[in-house]
Amino acid sequence: MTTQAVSVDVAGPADEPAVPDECRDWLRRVADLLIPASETMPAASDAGVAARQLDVVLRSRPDLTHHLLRAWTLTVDTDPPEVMAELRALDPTAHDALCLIVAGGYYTNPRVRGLLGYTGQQPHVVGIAEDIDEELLSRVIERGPRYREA
Amino acid sequence: MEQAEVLIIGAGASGGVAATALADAGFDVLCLEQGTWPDRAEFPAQRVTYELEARKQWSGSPNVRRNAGDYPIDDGDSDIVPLMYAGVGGSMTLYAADWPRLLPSDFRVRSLDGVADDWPLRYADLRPYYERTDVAFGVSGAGGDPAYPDGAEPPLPPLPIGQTGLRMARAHDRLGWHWWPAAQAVLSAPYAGRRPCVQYGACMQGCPEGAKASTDLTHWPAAIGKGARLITEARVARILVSRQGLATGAEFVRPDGSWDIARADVVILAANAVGTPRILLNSASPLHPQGLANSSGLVGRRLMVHPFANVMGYFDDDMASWNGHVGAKITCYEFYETDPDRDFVRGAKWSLAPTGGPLNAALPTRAGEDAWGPEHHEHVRRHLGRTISWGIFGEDLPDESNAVELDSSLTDSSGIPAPKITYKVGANSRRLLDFHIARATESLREAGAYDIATESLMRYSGWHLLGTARMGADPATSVVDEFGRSHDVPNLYVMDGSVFVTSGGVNPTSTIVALALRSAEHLVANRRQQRIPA
Ligand SMILES: Cc1cc2nc3c(=O)[nH]c(=O)nc-3n(C[C@H](O)[C@H](O)[C@H](O)COP(=O)(O)OP(=O)(O)OC[C@H]3O[C@@H](n4cnc5c(N)ncnc54)[C@H](O)[C@@H]3O)c2cc1C
Ligand code: SF4
Repeated sequence: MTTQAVSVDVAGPADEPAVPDECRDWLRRVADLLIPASETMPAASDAGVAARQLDVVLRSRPDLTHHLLRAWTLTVDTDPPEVMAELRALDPTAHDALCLIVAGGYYTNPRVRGLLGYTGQQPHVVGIAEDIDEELLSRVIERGPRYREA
Repeated sequence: MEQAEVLIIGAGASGGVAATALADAGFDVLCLEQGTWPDRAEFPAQRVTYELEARKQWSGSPNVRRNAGDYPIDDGDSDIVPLMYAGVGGSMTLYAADWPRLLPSDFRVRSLDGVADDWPLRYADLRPYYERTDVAFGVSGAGGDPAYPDGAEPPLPPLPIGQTGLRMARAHDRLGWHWWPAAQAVLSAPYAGRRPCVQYGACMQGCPEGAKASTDLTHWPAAIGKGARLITEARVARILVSRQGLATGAEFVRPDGSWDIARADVVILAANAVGTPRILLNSASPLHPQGLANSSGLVGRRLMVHPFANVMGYFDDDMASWNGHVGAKITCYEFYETDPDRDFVRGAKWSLAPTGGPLNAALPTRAGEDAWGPEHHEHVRRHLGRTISWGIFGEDLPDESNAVELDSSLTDSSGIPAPKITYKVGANSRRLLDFHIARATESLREAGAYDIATESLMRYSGWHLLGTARMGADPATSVVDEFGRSHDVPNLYVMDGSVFVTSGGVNPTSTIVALALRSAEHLVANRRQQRIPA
């Protein structure tokens, strides 16, 4: 158990999913191999995929919790770099769930979304027919009917 | 016990349209729907976890989603997974609202191309109904599309085509190929008390604005205002039939698990092309051992689902291609009609849709390969916002071995036998898709794509469920007549996507609802001749 993980990452509301700290430590190590830091993007652990973002993921997808716990239990003696290959062979469902948990946690992090410039799922007022080029459209009409009379 | 003049089973697209027309005409209408009313506040569009929820509780597959209202489907023997939603509004709750019509040739494939069968009606017969349902649902689009015969313009102007639409429009302009702003059942402006689209880009997990048309918004409130009764969480097991061969009502399960009866003079099935044959086959009795309305043996047969391919181009610049309504920005009908120089008949419509958010970009479902480790960020950068994809809806020719049957052991939670689907993509469809993939690749290259990824058959693409109780004039080769009336049981109607004779190569819902309106109004007009139980 890492006390730092408890104080920094796990503190939160009472309804937090029950994932042991050892499992979070394991996840942090595996996740950083899946999504390491780049020049512009943080590593998975820095984006909180084993901490708050894990809680975000599991609150929205409680069904993933037991796949995570199973993945951890199956590979508890495996070196982190071998974990994904081993899971793919032993338990593809747990393997896929782990990918989803790591990517799901990472890409729901607002800082990551900001760095990517992703502003989807936010309301934008629709400009009525303002981006349709009438000249292009009239050339489609000039080319004549496309359908068969029947 | 419940009682009504008309019992409708299913409150989805066709059920909502039929209920409104009948309630308007003064009929006492009762509808039994296995799902609940949608709660727009629950739709995930505005939550950061939207892409995670889309893969489970908001999946189009009842087997993945497993809501209380869903029944399971054995799809192990199907190339394509059937997708649908149970609730008021039906599968329209999750649909993408791409709203094209069938073309004139789609109704005449036997006469024109020597395959499958002609419909017992033509495009011109349906056109007035298309125009009325466009108004009722609030369709946005641009009039004058040369892919279609002349007719009334959609009631609302087109939605934005976005950077991706414009780029592909210019490419098709250079190629001399057809393109057109896509007709969508999504509001581009306020309409009938509903708010317009604000481009969340999450239409396939429910539209929180109510900008996307579905019958829970566009039809059921009016139908209920006219006296129609809608009972939700009511799961129909089977239709009951008298010795005289008339439908007398249905047996159903209430949410507390108790069984009940709804009696009616006329029964309308609107449970979609999987749910309807399931009910008819579950209604087998000593008088109808093969299932109800099944003297032709075609109930459940000829399932068509539109095999779907996706061709995606990679571009250098960020076009925010995750943005906007999900149905289609623009469409292309350049290769829709049969060309004798090709090694297949019929064709496909292309739809240009957004390519998804960051989770979609990161996971192998879109990429086709894993990209973890040091390459991960470059992989996401390539995909997110910098891709354009053509979705190709190929015409699916009917084949009696593609079928909905009853599973020998699987049941829903009430013990009612569940459906099993057998579906294989035919040889004509495969050649058709391969040709279209090659043309879509040319299109994207012309637009400047530096790389192309192809999904030559998407398994989770069974959005369009059609053909399992086909219409026709001959009772030996069809289940219902051109107005959805069963040849065998004169007070039993089918008004959902099951009645399609052939599939066409376009999204079907505008045609499903136009047919439902035509059938319901025919029932109203002929009410005095309608045989009913004593
Ligand atoms: C994810 C997705 C995307 C789609 N996108 C498009 C698109 O862009 N364009 C397009 O044209 N189409 C699209 N479709 C298809 C479209 O939703 C359907 O064509 C249309 O809803 C079918 O109408 P229907 O009346 O036949 O059945 P449905 O709308 O499916 O309604 C059937 C209703 O019957 C109920 N029911 C079934 N069995 C029972 C029973 N035993 N007892 C009580 N109730 C029962 C169901 O719960 C359901 O509410 C999409 C579908 C999905 C799932
Ligand atoms: S893009 Fe428009 S139609 Fe789709 S969910 Fe958002 S508001 Fe609704």
